Amino acid sequence: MAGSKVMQDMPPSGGYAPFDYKRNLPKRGMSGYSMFGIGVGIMLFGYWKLFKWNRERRHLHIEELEAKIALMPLLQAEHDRRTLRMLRENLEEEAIIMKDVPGWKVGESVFHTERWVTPMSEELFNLKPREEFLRKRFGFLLYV
Amino acid sequence: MPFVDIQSRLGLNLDRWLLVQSGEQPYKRASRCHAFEKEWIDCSHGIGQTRAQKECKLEFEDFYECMHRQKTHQRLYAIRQQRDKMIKAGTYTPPPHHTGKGEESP
Repeated sequence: MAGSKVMQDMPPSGGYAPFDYKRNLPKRGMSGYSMFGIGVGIMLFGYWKLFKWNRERRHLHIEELEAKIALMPLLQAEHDRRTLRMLRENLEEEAIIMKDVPGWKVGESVFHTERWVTPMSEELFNLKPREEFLRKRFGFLLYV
Repeated sequence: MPFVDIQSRLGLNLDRWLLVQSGEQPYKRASRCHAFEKEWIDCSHGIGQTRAQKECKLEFEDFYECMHRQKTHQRLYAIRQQRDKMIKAGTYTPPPHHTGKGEESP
């Protein structure tokens, strides 16, 4: 104990540098209100885009309908000519086929009315091969 | 009401719940039996069921036939049977447009 210099682990001269020991929870980020506002803003923007696109889709749909209307006379005329041709052929064949059947009136209408009744595809394709009838009935698919 | 037509007196239409083919359709496309149904309804409206069954027989039969096509199918079947019988007996050959080789022009 005579003041002899012993090597001890001492802090450096001047002490350590200061460091922060207090808790540090800084306020950061947006406030709740502004986040809510941004969400609502994004939703409104989405609605606006949606409404604009729906309007555009309506215009396109109307254009498609108008195109159909424009083409309808031609297509309807073709379809009518074809129907009448097939009915005429069926009538002639029926006259040939049923001439020996007693009590058969060729071309007799099953209805009491004198109105024009649009013929079914069964009537038009009656004497044709069955595959043609099936192609007419099920050939065109709207779904894939 | 049998003797007092309240609906037309008060300007009401309480029959909109009745769903008929002749009602409003989407895209204004008429049904297949629209005309027959309309004729039948016009014939049998307001006269009661007993009278309607007697007086509107023809319209009803036409409407029924349009929907179910029973007589049409029977007729077509009879023609087909007779044709097959004649083909088997050799008295009839179907023309080219009935054997798939005709030209479908229009």
